[in-house]
Amino acid sequence: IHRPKENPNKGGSLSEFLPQLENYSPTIPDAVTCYYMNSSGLNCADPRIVRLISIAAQKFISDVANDALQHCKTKSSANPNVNKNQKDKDGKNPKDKKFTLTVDDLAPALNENYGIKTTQMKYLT
Amino acid sequence: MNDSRRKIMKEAVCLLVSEAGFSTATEESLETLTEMLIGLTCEIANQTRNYAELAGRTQSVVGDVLMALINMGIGFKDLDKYALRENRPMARNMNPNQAQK
Repeated sequence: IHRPKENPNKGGSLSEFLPQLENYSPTIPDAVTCYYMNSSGLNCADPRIVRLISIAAQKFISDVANDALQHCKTKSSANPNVNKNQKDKDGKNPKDKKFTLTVDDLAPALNENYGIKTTQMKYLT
Repeated sequence: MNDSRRKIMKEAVCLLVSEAGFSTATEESLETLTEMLIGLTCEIANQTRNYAELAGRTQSVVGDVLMALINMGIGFKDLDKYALRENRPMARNMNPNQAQK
């Protein structure tokens, strides 16, 4: 039976990373993550668990933001007139364009990649 | 809703969004991401506790968190690369005594 060769480094990266969590400071402060963990009934005695949860949640939000940026870029490249007008107005290269995160970019990114449907509240429109 | 912890979470979301490449963001999108971040943190913690209790423990271990992440469909393959990336943004210092040293 043909079996794929196992990568010797596979699974080792996380076990090497776990001791590094002791001296790691995530973007979300530990105290804030601890509060939300406690509100869910989880005791936060081990700082590694707090930081692992922080990093996992941060990575999710970063992935969503990256997907939304790709949506924003494809949308702006699909409408070259918008870029042209911006170039005339600002006198800048469209490659240096500044991107704005809107719900219009966020909603398709969440729906396509994560299956999360977002609807805008009617009273906010 | 005027919660200090929520404000810090929003600040973290702002840092992550600006790191992704956005220069500005609307209020609704930031609120959506903040709510998702809070909800995700609570859900991971809830599932971690469930896995610890399923194993007959009161203290959770790192394996419980990994099981919770797998159960939620969130991979942790590139988590170490993400955590140790260059130029990662830092939120404000929550302990002002450390800054004075």
